[in-house]
Amino acid sequence: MMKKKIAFYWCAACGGCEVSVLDIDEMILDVIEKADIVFWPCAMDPKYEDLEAMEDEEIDIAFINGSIRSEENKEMVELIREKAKKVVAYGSCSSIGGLFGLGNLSSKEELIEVGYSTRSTDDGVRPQNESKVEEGELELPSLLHHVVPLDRVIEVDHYLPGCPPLPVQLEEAFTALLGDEDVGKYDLISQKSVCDVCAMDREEKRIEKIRPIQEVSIDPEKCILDQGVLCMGPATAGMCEAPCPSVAAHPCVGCNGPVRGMKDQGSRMLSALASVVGIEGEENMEEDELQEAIDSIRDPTGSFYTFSLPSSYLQYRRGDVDG
Amino acid sequence: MDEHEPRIIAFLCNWCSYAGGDLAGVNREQYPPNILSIRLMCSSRVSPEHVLESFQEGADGVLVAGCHPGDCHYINGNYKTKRKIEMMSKILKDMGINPERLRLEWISSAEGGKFAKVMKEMVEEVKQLGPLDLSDVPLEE
Amino acid sequence: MKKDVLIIGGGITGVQSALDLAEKGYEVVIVDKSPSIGGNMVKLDKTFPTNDCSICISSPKMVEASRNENIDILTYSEVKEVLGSAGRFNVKIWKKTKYVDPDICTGCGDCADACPVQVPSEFEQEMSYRKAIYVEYPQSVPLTYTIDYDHCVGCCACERICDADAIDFLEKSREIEIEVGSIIVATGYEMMQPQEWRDEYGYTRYDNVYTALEFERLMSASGPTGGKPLKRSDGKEPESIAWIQCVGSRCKQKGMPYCSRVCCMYATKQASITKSEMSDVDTSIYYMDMRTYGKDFQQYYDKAKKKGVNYIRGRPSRIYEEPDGSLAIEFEDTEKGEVKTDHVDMVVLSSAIMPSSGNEELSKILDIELDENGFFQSKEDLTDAMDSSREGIYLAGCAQSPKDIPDSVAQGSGAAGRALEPLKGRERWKKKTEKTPEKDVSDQEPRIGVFVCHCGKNIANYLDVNSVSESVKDLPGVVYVNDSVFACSEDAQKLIKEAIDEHDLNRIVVSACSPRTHEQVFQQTLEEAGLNKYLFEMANIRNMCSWVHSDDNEKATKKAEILTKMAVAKARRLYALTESEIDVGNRTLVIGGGPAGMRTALSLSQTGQEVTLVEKEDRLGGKLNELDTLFPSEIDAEKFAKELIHQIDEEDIRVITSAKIEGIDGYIGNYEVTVNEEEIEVDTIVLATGFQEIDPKDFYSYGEDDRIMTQLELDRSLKKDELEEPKDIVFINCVGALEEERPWCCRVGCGNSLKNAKEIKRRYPDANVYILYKDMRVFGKKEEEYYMEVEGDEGVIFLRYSTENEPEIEVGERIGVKVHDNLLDEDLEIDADYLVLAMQLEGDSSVNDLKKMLKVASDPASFYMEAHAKLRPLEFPSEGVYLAGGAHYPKNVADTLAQAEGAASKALVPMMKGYSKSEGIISVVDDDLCSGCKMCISVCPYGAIEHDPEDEIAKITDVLCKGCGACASVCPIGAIDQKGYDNETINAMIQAALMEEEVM
Repeated sequence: MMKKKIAFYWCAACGGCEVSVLDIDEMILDVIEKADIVFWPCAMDPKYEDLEAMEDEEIDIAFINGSIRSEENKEMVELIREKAKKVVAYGSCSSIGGLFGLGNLSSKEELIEVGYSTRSTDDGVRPQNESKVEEGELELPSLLHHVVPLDRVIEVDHYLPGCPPLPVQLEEAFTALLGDEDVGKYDLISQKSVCDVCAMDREEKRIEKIRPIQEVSIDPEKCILDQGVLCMGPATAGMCEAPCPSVAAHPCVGCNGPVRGMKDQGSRMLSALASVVGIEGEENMEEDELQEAIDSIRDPTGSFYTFSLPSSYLQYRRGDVDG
Repeated sequence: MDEHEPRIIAFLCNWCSYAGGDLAGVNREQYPPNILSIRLMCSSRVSPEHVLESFQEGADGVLVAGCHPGDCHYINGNYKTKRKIEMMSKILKDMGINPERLRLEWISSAEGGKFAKVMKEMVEEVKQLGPLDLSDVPLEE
Repeated sequence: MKKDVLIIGGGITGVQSALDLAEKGYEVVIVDKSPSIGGNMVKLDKTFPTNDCSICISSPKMVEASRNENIDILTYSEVKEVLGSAGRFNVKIWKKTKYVDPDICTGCGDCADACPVQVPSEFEQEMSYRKAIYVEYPQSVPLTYTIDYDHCVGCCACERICDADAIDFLEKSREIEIEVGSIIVATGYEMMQPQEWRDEYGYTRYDNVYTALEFERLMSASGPTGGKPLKRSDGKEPESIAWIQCVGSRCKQKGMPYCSRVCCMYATKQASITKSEMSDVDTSIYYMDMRTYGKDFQQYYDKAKKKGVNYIRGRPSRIYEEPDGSLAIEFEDTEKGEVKTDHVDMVVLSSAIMPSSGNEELSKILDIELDENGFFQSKEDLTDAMDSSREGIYLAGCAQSPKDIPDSVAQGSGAAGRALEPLKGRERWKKKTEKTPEKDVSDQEPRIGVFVCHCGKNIANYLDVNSVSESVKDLPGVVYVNDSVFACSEDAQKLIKEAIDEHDLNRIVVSACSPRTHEQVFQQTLEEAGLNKYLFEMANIRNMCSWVHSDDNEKATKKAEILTKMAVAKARRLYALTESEIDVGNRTLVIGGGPAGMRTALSLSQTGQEVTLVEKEDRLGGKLNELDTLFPSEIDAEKFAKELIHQIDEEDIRVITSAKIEGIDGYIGNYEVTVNEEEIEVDTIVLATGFQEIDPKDFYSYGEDDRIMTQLELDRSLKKDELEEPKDIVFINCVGALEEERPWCCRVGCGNSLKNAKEIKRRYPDANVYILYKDMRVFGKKEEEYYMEVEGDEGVIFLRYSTENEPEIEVGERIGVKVHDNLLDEDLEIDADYLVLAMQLEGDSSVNDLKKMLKVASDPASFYMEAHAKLRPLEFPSEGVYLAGGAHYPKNVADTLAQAEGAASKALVPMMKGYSKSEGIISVVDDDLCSGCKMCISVCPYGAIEHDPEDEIAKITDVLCKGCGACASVCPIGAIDQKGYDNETINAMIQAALMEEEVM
């Protein structure tokens, strides 16, 4: 069998996805056996021209991580798309927008202003697209209007969400993709939620109100949501073996995004949680008690859409009115 | 340009608000035609996703109407609706959408008059807010 | 021809009896002298107190009856002879020819268009014309045209134009002989013609004086003036309308002695709806007592007052027309003591409910007795109201005495229960249901048929029906589009069936009126055509379009198009749903051992059911144990209780007294009830928990002095003869009632006060009894007459007070009562030996626990909420639980027992069928997706979702699921969806609604 040519690329990312490739330990040897890594800027320092020089579809599979935040991200992935037979959205940022997507709650101008106006860094200078220096003219790629997941700029063949994808996911993904198995576009996303793989003991949900985790002494045996702490597990795809709740007794933050086939993780979680928070005695609840229950979920947008805002229905803050 | 004619999706529960709408008809209560209703068995069936889908497809407003508290045909479905819609409003606000575009009303099967009144008010209010444009802006300016 | 039961009269009462019996497998014949069934209810515009459109709620019942295979309907027919006896009556029926073959007539109406003869329409109270070939009303059942021989000129224009060749002048009237086991008389009522009895009101002399039934037709959108009350004299809108109450009622000399029971409410309804629709019109009601006695009636009356309807207490002495055409009403305002003359543009006479004119002849044919007024005489008015004087013949509805729709329907069901007695041992379900086998269309591409309805002119006048049809015909999946004048007509149903066959349709969309009223009609047609009934969707282009956007044809058309497209979008995604069946056995539990519970238990036991009767007190009897006698009779309550208890002893009924119900689990066919720590399994449950007095402690110094007692306590004292001979005794009615906190009327308080006043006068002829009342609400059979008798006693003094001017009490050696008499407009002071409080009543204290256990609802007064105020008074939304008596609302013994028999009859339906069907629209869990997060479980109001510990996923019990869909909205990963309303379908409807950019 011919060895496959594979590539890795990062866009707006923290680097965790890049590192995660190595988390598969000795399985990396199997990968190397089946594939040659022909492009991996983080590890190999190739140049733009090298990529440009490749034949179209010369790369068999390109693994792209990170959100699409800047013109550069966009241009690079468009080029990779030309050179690659298959593109895999690697990690949650490229699959569903990721944590950087929360930037979509602000305009790009607001982001730049906040980013460059803190007391330690503010020297009155703001980054410019073009700036003249002694050596000549410098070009800096602009931020895009808002953060988007990879599939908003190029076609994606497979999604592999996770922040970062865990070895268990990677083993499955590499085996399948490098072994020419027939893998559907969304097959690497679980259709069941984190609850399915979570080891905590669950009750039927009757939550009085949601409390910040720092106010609760978490019982590591019991469902965190049952203890009144917001856990995104019920609305989050569960291909991760639920290490956060099961191992760390920490609530799921929803990094895998919605389960296969679901579009809007945040509104799903909202619907579920709003239905059960304040359910006890709801018939006789006074208005202020009801409000208290509702308000106990702090920052619902930030909590429910931590990782998936750019791929949700609304995607970014709209300029409807100053609502 | 002509005044903007908003389009509003109304999710009506079968037992109270849809019946109220029927009664508004029987009573020939006139209201603007901008409301398109979808009958569900209970207001608690409405998912926030349906609200978002409506906005995305071009609705300028969404009305969810159910039985009065205590009157729910399914005992307590409307309480859940209330909590869902209230929380949904918060998210709309965060996302820069005027939460008044999403309205929750209790309309009983005997309130044909109220049904018509709510329809009139909502159309008027949404008209004031103007069209909701959720088409994606270009990424690069 | 052998049948089981003959029902005479096809009004709502008779139809209810017929349906109750037919659903148990008995074969029923309805005979109605009119060309169609429907009786009086279909003539009404709306029904109080819910303002339901009368034809809309009654029409589906009529259609249901006409489609029931166990019901034969003989219209234009009369009973001529009845021989034999209970169990075997030989009946001769004269069926007049309609000269139209009902099997061929399509109801298209071409013949009526062609007919040159105009005849005043009986249905429209002769305010408009019909033809000599006609149907009574557009929704007539059966929808067969009738040639009215008396007016036909024999020109044969109809015969020539009839494409279907349905007209046959040679068809003869004929006699039909049938043998039945029992007979139900439900011949209803007629409205009094005021010119014959109350000529001083000028009816027929003055154009603008109407009867209430005429006004009802004026209000009806399909009536002669298109729904606007326009003056007969000049066709203009009136500026003021007066309603005159008790025209022919409550007047022995010039009419009938009884109260007609419904007029206060229908006048209030007419006035308040008129006020809502034409706010500038002055509406006034001239009344004697406002008898808004029923459930939610008082609240309805209060709302009318708030809307601006004037209520004037006084019975006009005459009405005359002024030269300017206005009508002068001479009356004494008895609240102000002034003789006055008011002027209005229009007068509506609330004329009396009269016995049907055919009653006398029918009573001879049936050999049963009439009462002194011409209604059919019950075996005993209170205790056996539905039994006639002859075994095997039963009475229901207004044939027995005037009553409103729910009371009539309750009697309809009750009489159906009574009629079972002579049928014992008969074979049921003789006709084996030949269901059209259901076609499996699951792997077919959608082939949608769209039927657009004109609803006569109701839709077609306000929007372009053709354009609606055109707009959908090219949509994907749509293969057939048609429109019809009345899509709900029998004729149109035939066409739908034919289209299904001819074009191989597998999804049907009807764009017409509301699915809430008409879905069933069409679904049945689908079933008859071999399609699963859930392959059907309606677009409501009438109630939610043509009627409410009637001033803008273009926009209404556009909206109707979109609504129809949305329905098509849904139809494309519809799939067949099944309703699972569960077995229902014959074990039943009756909760409450008062008269309602005991009679229910007896009725159920007598049909062979295994009955458990539980009572929270230590003995059976309920309120009968406390009451002295039963208003309006001399029947000793305790004696009657003993009779019932004796009958219960005779039957194989398990009685548990001092019972505490600790829990109820399960559902129809499977209830597990824990009573006194014992678990009892039953198939159905009847709630007969009665009512109670509200806590009297905050009223009129109650509790401070033994001489201040409630009306029930007085009953107890009278029974035990503990009362010391009083010189003066004061009754206060409506204590804690008709006020803001408890606005409802207790329905029985006035009667009970009258009864005790009479009893006190009987025992102590020298005593003075003062009755302080607001309105004297006595309305049942013989009640008004009883009131008149008590009123005639000089020693009983009636003083009318108002909520704003409540009596004041001072407890001293005697009890000082200061009251402002409204009628005399002066303060009176009475020193009384006893003060008796007719307390407001509320539902029993057990209601709060039981309603949770059974997952049923109650109103703010703790009375259970029935499934429908008018037509389903004895049922709950879900099958398996029924209610009777005071648990529904306080009522006298006659009404209580009617409900008891009726509730038993309702409970018998699933028990005699042996099964119950689940809903089709239920939620379903996708086992492959469910991750067992347990979010959905607590959200289900019916406890239908359980966590399956083995598979670690949610499981839904189909028969418990009522299909609200809350769980489908809760499930965070879409593992639960609601059949018929799945996410994909809802989204498809949203998309269809907003598909076109064009604004409306």
